[in-house]
Amino acid sequence: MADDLPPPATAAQQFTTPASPAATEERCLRRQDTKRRRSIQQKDEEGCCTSSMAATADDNLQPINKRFKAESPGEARSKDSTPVENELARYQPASDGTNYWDRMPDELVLKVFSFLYEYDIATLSAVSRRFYAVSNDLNLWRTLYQQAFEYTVPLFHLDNGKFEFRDVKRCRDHNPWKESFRQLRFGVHVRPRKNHIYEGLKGRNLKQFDRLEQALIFLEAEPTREKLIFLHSGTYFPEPIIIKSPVQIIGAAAGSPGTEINRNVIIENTEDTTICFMEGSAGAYVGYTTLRFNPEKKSGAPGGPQHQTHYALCITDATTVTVDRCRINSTSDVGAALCVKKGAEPKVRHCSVTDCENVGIYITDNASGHFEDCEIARNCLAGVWVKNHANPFFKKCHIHHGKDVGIFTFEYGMGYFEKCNIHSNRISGIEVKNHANPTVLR
Amino acid sequence: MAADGDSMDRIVKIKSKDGQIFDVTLGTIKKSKLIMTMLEQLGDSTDAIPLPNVDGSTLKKVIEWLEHHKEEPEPAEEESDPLRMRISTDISEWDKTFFDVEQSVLQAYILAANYLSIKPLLDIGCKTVANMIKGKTTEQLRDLFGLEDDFTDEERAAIKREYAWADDEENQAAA
Repeated sequence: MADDLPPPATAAQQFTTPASPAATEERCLRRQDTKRRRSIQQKDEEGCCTSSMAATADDNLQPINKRFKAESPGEARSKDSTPVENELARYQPASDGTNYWDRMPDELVLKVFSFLYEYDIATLSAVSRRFYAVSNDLNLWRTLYQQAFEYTVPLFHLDNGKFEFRDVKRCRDHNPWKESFRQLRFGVHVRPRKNHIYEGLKGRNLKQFDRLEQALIFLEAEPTREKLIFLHSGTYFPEPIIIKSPVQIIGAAAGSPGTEINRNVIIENTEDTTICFMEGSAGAYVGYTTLRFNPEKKSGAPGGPQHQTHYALCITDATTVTVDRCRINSTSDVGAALCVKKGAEPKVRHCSVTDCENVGIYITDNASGHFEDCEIARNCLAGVWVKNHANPFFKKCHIHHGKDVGIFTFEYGMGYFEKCNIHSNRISGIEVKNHANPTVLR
Repeated sequence: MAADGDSMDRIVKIKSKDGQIFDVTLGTIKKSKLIMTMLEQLGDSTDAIPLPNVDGSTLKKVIEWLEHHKEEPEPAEEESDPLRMRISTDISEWDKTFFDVEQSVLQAYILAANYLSIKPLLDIGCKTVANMIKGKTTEQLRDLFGLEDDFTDEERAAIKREYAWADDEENQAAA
């Protein structure tokens, strides 16, 4: 259980029952050696370790004054009739002066704590040094964290729209699970049928919804709350989502952050644009999610649906939206998977726009934006269309195996393509037509 | 393990720290992994099994608990899912009454359950303590458990910083 302890580099804020006076002076107290603790489940069947564990705990507790204060409020207020006071009156420490907890080995204290949630554990940690040490157990926090967030690796939320997964072993925080929990605690969770994990629990204060639309409506009504939505693993078929505020939507699932989360969180629409960011959405974020437009009926037939303007993701109006590690796909035979238009300036990073039955990315009408480290591949029409004074910046993108051209610039389309790997597209890598003027750098 | 119907009536003698000897049936005591392991090692010996970590009055109550729960099957090993929610509110009325005792007695039950390796009893004991903790303030918890605030001023300030977030729930999060 303690294999994933972080390096003790920043243990300065850690303290526990001191092992020696010298350690106390340095105020750089070593964490109680959690490696010595074993989980209840791993305890050997003989059960003989109890006494030795208890002895360990006693050793550590030597400096603690076990005496119960004479002026204890528990005694003074025992005539009051609140439930807490009644309990205090009833649960007096043993009369022989030994403390209730002193004889409890750490593993049992930890087992008690494991039935509690984050706010009660925060309270416990301020009770005494020993409780502080036990309440910082990495496994305890990892369990709390993964129940609520699912992530296999703790996610750090440094700023609006900035998220970063940090490997526990390379984390500087002494308890990355707890720190990540702290940073993400105001996010609302979209996780169908899992209300019992989030709400109605003493010591936990998280918000959960079954549907993405409900979470968006809730955040709209709570202007002071951080607009952060965890969209948990599953496939969602919401109404067309139109976003006009700086909301952050991030996929939440177990597995490798780089490759697995966005495969397990899918938003799909079959009739209209799946998600559209409009004016007012500057600073919005969507990440670690698959966005798909998947119409049941193809266009073309007379009187049939007109999907030319239906996208998996549309970013319009002069807005700056971050799109991070998303898979963007459309099976419509007209239109495009991702449309950026009307002066929009998104940051699209580490995304894939592949296997679309039309155009991959369509950038038009003075839009620009940064596209970095994206894969655009195997699309039936062009990988990228740049049109009508659009001027996107593509860097280190991999545009390949298109069944048409890789990049098609036309009708005054501009663009700056740096260090892109463009190859194996059926007709040509870059096509320039009708006053288009792209810049291409190796 | 020996678990066929007839052998469940077999009488096992167990001896507490203070020398009291209790006769229990195998069917009653089988939830104790410690005793089952010792029985395997002892073979056919009929000597009383010494339990030097449990006093007679506690052992008597533990046997009472085992008697009451002896028909209940062993819980499946759902431990394989570490993310299973730890629910502490699923304690039966009988068990609530059983554990409605002084703290020192409750602690003795927990230590005995741990030593004897009786997982369901240990779980209920720990849940009972957890339920006592829920919703209390730091000061109330110190009073409840008779614990001293043994932090230095610097440590206290550091903890206040570290857990500042735990105080803001009412301001920020919805109820």
